[in-house]
Amino acid sequence: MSDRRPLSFLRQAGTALCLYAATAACAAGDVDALLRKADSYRLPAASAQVETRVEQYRRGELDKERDYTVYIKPGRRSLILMKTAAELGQKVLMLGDNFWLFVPDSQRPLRITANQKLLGEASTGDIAEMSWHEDYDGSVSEETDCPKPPEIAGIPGRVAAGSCLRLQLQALRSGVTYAKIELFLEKNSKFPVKADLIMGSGKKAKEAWYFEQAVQGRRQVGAMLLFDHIQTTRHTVVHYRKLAAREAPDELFNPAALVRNSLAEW
Amino acid sequence: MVTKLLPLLAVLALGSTPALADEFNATLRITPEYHEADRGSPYFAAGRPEMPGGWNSNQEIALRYRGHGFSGDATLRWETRQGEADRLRADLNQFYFDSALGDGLAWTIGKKVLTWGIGFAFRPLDVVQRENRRSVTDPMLVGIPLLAIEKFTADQAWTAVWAQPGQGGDKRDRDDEALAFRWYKVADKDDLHAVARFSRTRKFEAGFGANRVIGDEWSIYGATLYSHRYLNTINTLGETGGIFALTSPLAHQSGEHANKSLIGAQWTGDSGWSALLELFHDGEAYRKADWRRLDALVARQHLNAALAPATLFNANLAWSANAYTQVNVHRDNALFRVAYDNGDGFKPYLELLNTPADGGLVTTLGGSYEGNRFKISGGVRHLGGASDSVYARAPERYMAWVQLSCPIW
Repeated sequence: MSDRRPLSFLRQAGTALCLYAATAACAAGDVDALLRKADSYRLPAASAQVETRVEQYRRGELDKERDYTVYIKPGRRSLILMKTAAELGQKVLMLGDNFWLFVPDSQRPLRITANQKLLGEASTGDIAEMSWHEDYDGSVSEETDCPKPPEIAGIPGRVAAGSCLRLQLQALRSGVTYAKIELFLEKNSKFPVKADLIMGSGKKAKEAWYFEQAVQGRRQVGAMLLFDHIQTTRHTVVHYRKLAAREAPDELFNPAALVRNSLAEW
Repeated sequence: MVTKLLPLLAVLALGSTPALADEFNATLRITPEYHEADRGSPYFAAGRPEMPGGWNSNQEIALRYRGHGFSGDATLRWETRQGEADRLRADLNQFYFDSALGDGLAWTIGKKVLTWGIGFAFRPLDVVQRENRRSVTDPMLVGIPLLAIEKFTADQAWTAVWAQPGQGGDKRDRDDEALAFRWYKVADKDDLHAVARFSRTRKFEAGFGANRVIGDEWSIYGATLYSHRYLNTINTLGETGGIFALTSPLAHQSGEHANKSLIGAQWTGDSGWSALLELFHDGEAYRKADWRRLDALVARQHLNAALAPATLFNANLAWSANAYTQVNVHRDNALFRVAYDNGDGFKPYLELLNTPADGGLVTTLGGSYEGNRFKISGGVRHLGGASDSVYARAPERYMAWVQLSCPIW
């Protein structure tokens, strides 16, 4: 009996190791499916209208709030219409890795670089890029306990808990806002829990936490909490106030069309 | 007449549109500015209203409406000028109707701001609006009466514009009746632009431009425009060898075969710093010889100041100083701009405009901060450079400004 124990322990350990390796390998091969499932909690359809409110807090106090209407289409196409009085009429168009900014004072769409879109209070990518499976690839590095979010009052919904899959993701193209993401998905549902958002320089830019809400019996990301690792005194809450399937016409995604009034009705 | 009717026709179109969401807002803008005159400048004319000097301030409410296919922008402005009576004025900046005709086809009628082209300090392809890009405190842009048809596909756009219909020719630029066309194409990392314009005054203009984005940080761009004919304003006393005129000696002079060109590069780092360099040529601006002729006239006027009443002397200096109202005082210019964005609404910048022909330098140090409900911007602009340069001899030494804007509703 006593001489079989070490062998039994080794066999059990070996079995567990093999199972873990197989699980990890299987998951790595199916990262696209994991990301698609996680994306489904962020976007209800490939073409969608997202009404977003961004609240920026400085030292815990509300500093700025901005409203955006975002139209998203497959193929990394997003159109952001700024709806707050202070920036009313401004638009940002994203076509693949290309970006244009329209400011009403100049009445002219302006081609901007990926870094230019990063600047300003709310990163365009945080609002417009809602499809991980189109932008990232990578592997599952481990199964672990889900990380616990910091306590921030006033955010509706809760962050998923329990067991999580930890994914290491790399951007598939240079125009994506964050070059790498370390993403935690709740193991069973694949609901996003937390993402560490890393710049091309390797610097961790932000930490995102995803709060779930039930909308018409369906689980979805209702809010995203962002901790800025560059501006450490502030945090941002992105509220997804309305997520609906809606097909905006293709011609609205032409930079030259940004000057048209017809967008006001969208 | 037709021009004046266009906004009315736009109103009539109201009845034919379905009820859609309306958007109405108003913004208060207060812009005090201070101009320091250079009384030692040969172009300084004492007691003339055209001369810079002292405080002035614009208080305006900008009203904006979008809905039912309509766009309207109007400005109510109260202008205060040191030493002058206050003025109230109302401008209809834009009022137009635009609508889709289906299959990517759309049309616009009314008064609209229509800015085309590429460039930060100068836009050669801006053949309809002809915006002054060097001004820092100008009021909102005022549109042009027009009728336009546009065709959009996923990656191209064609625009045909009938600007200032019924105005006729022989007028300056934005008041000149014209037919203008634009083609625009997105080709992955490139934006391609081409324009053409026909009018009685300028006859034919055509140009093209491109903008390429390289990686996450760089963009390079360029544009060039050919004009068959152009008009600029000269002081005829400079040509005739005269000294003083009793009435304005300013007149339009036409030139032929002008070119406007621009090349530029912009870098934006992920730290928030950015830099921009533009070299541009404005073939309609004064040559060095034009300035020499004008300088010689001003020298004659000073030499003979004792022969004329002071009011006539100063009026003539003011007419000569009109040359400084050109957007570009020299044909060749270089602009360097470095800016920072802290990601939290604070954006300072430094801008240097150099005229290589004479070593002139315009330095602008400015910045803006955008809060939750307001935006404040301001800066200082200094005109100088080599002592015999056009900018160093300008009747203005520097200006400083602040602009506060906040939405009212």
